[in-house]
Amino acid sequence: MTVEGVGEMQEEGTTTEAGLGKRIVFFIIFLALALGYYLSIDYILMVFAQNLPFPYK
Amino acid sequence: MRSLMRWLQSPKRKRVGAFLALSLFAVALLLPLVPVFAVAEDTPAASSDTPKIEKAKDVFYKTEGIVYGPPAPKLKYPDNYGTYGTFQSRTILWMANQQHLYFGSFVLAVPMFVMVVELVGMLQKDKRMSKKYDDLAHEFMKISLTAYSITAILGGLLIFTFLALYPGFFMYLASIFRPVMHVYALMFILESGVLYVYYYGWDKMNDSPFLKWCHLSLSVLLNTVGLVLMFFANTWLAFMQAPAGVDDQGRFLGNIWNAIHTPLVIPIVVHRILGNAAFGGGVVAAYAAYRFLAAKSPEEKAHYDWMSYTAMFMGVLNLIPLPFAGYWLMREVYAYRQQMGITLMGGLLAWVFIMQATMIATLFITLNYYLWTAMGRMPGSERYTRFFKYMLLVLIVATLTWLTPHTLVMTPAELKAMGGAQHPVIGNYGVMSAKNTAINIIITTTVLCFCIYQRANKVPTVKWAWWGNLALGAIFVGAATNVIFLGIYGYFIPANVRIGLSVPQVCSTLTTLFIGVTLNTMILKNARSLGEIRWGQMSTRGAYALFLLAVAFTWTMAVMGYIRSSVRLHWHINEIMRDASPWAFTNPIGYAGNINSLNVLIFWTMLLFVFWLGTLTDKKVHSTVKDTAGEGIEGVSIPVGSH
Repeated sequence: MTVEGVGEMQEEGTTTEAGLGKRIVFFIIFLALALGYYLSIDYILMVFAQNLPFPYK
Repeated sequence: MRSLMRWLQSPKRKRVGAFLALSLFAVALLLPLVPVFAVAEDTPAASSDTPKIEKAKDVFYKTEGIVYGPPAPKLKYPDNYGTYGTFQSRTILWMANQQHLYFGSFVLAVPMFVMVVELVGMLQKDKRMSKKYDDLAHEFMKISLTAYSITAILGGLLIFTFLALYPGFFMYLASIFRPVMHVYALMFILESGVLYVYYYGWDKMNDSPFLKWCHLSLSVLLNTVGLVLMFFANTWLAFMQAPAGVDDQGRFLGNIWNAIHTPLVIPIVVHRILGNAAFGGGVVAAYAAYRFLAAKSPEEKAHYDWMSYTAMFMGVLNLIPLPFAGYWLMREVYAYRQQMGITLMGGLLAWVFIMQATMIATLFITLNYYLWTAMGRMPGSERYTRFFKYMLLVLIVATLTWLTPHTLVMTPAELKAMGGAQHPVIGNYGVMSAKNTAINIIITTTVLCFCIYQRANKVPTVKWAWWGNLALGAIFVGAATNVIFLGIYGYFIPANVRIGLSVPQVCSTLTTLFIGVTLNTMILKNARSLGEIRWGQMSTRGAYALFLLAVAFTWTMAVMGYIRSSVRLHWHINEIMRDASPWAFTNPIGYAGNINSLNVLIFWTMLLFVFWLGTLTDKKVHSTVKDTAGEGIEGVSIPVGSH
């Protein structure tokens, strides 16, 4: 890619629109949502689909 | 009446006539099936007239049925076996089987791709692109056609090998599957007929949209027949591994469906369809890579670069779900006979599984390497190059984890020095919790690599791209975290609960595949291009990577086939018919590896012959690329999946 390409991309704000702090905060929020989704899928697949205890006690 | 006459005199009548003739031909090919089905249905009725009726219990379904056949013969060596000098009959049969399977898989897989490529071509609005896809499909088919003849020859050779070396076993198997064996043979004739009409009618049926749709319908018919053929062949080997429809003496109980619908047949069929498709994609990609390397003009290079990418992409689409189908099959094996599962995964054949893991990891690393190399022809990919080394690190760590054996073969002194057969540290990675985690991480990384490939020469323009990228990152990081969490959690819970964790692990990986790739595609909607893909400018290392990919597919098939067949141990038909030959033992790994390698070598030598034949008649293939290349190679449009 040409240097101009990077410049244009940055101008469009795909990487530098928000500050690093804002990105980290929102990423953590998204990650928490994603993990919530994954854990609920784990629970459904273990408990309902396979009749296995999750979490195991 | 007058309008009908006018229509008959119109120029279209020849085409319609040709279509009718083709339809009649297809129906005529189906006619032989009718009496076979009738005979198959009549047989039980005729037999029921016999005065003495004996009932027995199905060995798997536990249902009662009327005994229709004699018990499985108790074979004796050498009475019921043939030999060729001092050669091991089993090895000869093994090789004949493997070669037939390679070519059979190839000729069944390629028409599936051809159908998709032809459909994609027909749906293209741009006529130039439409023709490009159509020519590609035609070229795929051309390779397949030569291989088809070799498949038929090898099939004949296989039957003769069975009859000459294992007549007792083969006669018994034929007595069970007699009705469907006829259908199989007739389906093969139907397959040949449809294949030749499909291939040789290609140009003729390109003339009108109606005939083109008819041509595509022939492709559907061809694939349907091919899948049915493969299904029948799979039922026989599934019966050998886990029989049903017979009693404990091997007497047929009259219900052919029970003998077909054995406990392992469905997962075996699914696993084989995916495997064949992945293998077929790999072989066609290797063919295109070979032509890419041999190409002299930039136009030719562009064409074969694009062809190799398309074939590789289609192969990989089937490779990604393949390990999951494999896990399903293993799960069914455990459900059928736990001991069989243990022999496979934790006993006699566990080391062969380590070889298999090596090959599959090689496949994924090679695939990632190809994508990294292929990004070299995409302007803008430099933004992502620095991440490749971390991805490689993840792939290597996961691969090493996957390859770690549970226990090692050691001398007593080594055992004493290590404090047991299991290493105190790395031994922890030799269990399924770690291995499931490793393969899921490998596949997730590969999906991530594909997402990067998708956006290598693009800059997103949608307003929500910032949020989308964060969400995409969270999907991947979340999936990896969940997969690793479940992997570690598995160490703290009993085995019967732990085995269930593989399902949510797979689900996390599939989430990245389906939701991740979909989200990535949405982010890239109307994205600004940083430059067209420079087809033909891939490095030669990328082409060699495709060779490695194809050979790794071939070797993996060989080793997996060996594992599945060997798990019967000293049985021809598990728990029904013993193998009384002197070769009813499990081969040492070294010997199996050598025979597999020899099989791979023979297959690729024959395949090179097929490739070479393909070059002899190749005159017009690149005409369309040439047209395009007239505007510069960068003018070659981007095909499916390359975004």
